[in-house]
Amino acid sequence: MKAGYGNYSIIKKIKRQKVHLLLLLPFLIFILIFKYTPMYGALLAFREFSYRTPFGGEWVGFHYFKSFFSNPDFSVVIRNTIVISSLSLIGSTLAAIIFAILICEVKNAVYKKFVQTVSYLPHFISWVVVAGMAMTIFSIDELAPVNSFLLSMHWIDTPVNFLGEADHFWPLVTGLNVWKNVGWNSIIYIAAITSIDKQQYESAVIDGANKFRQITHITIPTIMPTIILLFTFGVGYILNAGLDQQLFLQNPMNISRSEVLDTYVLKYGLQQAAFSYGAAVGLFKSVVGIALIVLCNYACRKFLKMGIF
Amino acid sequence: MKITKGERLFYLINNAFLLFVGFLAVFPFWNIFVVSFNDGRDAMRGSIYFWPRKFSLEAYSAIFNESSLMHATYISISRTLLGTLLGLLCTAVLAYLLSNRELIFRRGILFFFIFTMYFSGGLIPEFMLIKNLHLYNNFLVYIIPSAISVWNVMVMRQFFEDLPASLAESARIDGASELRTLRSIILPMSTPVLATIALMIGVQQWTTWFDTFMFTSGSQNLETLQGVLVKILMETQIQSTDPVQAARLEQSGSILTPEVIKMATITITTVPIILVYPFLQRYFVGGLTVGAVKG
Repeated sequence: MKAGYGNYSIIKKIKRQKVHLLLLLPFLIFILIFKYTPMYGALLAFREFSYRTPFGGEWVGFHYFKSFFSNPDFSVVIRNTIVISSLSLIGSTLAAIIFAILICEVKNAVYKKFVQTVSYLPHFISWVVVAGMAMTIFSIDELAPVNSFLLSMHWIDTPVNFLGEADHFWPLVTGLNVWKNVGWNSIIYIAAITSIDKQQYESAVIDGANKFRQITHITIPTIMPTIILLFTFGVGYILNAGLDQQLFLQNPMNISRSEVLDTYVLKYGLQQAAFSYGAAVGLFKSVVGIALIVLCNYACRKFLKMGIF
Repeated sequence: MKITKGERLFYLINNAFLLFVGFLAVFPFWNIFVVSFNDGRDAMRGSIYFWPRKFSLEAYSAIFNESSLMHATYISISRTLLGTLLGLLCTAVLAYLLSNRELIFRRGILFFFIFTMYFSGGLIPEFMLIKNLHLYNNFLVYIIPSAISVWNVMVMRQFFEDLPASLAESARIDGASELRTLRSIILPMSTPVLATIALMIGVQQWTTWFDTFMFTSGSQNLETLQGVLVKILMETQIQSTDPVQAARLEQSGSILTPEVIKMATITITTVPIILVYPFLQRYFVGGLTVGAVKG
């Protein structure tokens, strides 16, 4: 912004950029239609559903919110959502850090590349496929891989019903989340570790530090800001436990542990056509979600001097 | 530098452990693949781990003889190709427009886009919108609503902003139009980020089942492979939690079991991605770290 350029009036600037702005217009309209119209449509949560007007008729205030909050499902669904996504967040973060640290210690470049490439694989397949695999591998059948392994090691006497018992749902879904994301999530930590100055390690070795101390005193402190940033970012998304994994692995036996906000909206809002109720639950999720994100971003700015946005 | 005994032990354990991690990542795929090539009845006896026991192509011939599945494959391929093409085009143009630092109302316009990354209207209003736009039960529902992902746009914008500004400047001085500058100067320099985004969109298009489930009323015409897989999955789910059901199926005597059909379908939906991504890997690692660190 040199002198002269700053003197342009807004009109002149618009004229100067008219091709640019004209090209931008369709995209603005696209976002307006596909992103902002549903936000307006979320007002359905405060209105009675009607077939005549697209986003609802008579206003009913907080009626649907009240019925959600006073519903016995409320505490169960919120608990499941928060527990599942916290377990996944903690599990995935820890696994990705450990994996990144260990892979950076591999000396053979080809071997390193191979393990890395293989570890990304699960990220690229859909939850439908993951659930399909899990159902086969964790099946109650005593010949299914996991049960037959546990039986042959004499760790269990009868096959475990991993998919059919509510108690197994949280560990199972956490494990699958970690399995699916560990390689992909580690990319960023690997990048952070690779950028550490090698001289730091060399001088640590001269001071007599072994591998373990090098990791705890150099590697981890250096990548700490990245860890905290990504973790805080994850906390902002704590109400997004994910729809697919819960939906596909859900069955009447484990529903008490597997029902999360997203599956709940799908089930009651759409499949039972309680549109206003579903919209209220969805809006609750979005509002609490953005509040959490803003809060986490504020915390990052304040304590880490860096922000997500 | 001399390697101590302790270090040698560390490297040994580390390499072995990572091999185990790699095994865990690959084994489920391999197991599914192997079982899908096994005779169905024989597969019910279990204990197939690394190699088919009784080789058979029955599952695949059954799938390829069923026209509905072939049609689903066709729909999946077309939506992936068209969706990726349109998505990449839109992302590149929009990212380029937004990367202009002198854009008027820049902060406001960026906020307009970025806000939608964090706040959404929710599932029900989106469903209403699709119905009102007459995209319900329409092939375009696979292509149009997903044409722009703001997240991808921001990743690409970051990449464009990191390119030397003088290049675009000199093109403009030479009289090149906006789109000409993008096409002849910016895009040829942006292969890594283009490959990354293309891969992201392509994978998304290929693996998603949710729009099929939500926005097509199960009509055969628009069924995708993932949609078919969801249906097969739901059917076989009872079997994997209920031993009585499993035993009954074993006695039924057919060579084909839902289980092998499931394995074969999983294999068909997974193989294309496994084939494509190693080639693009060298690009996406770079592309991903650029976007994620600076956000």
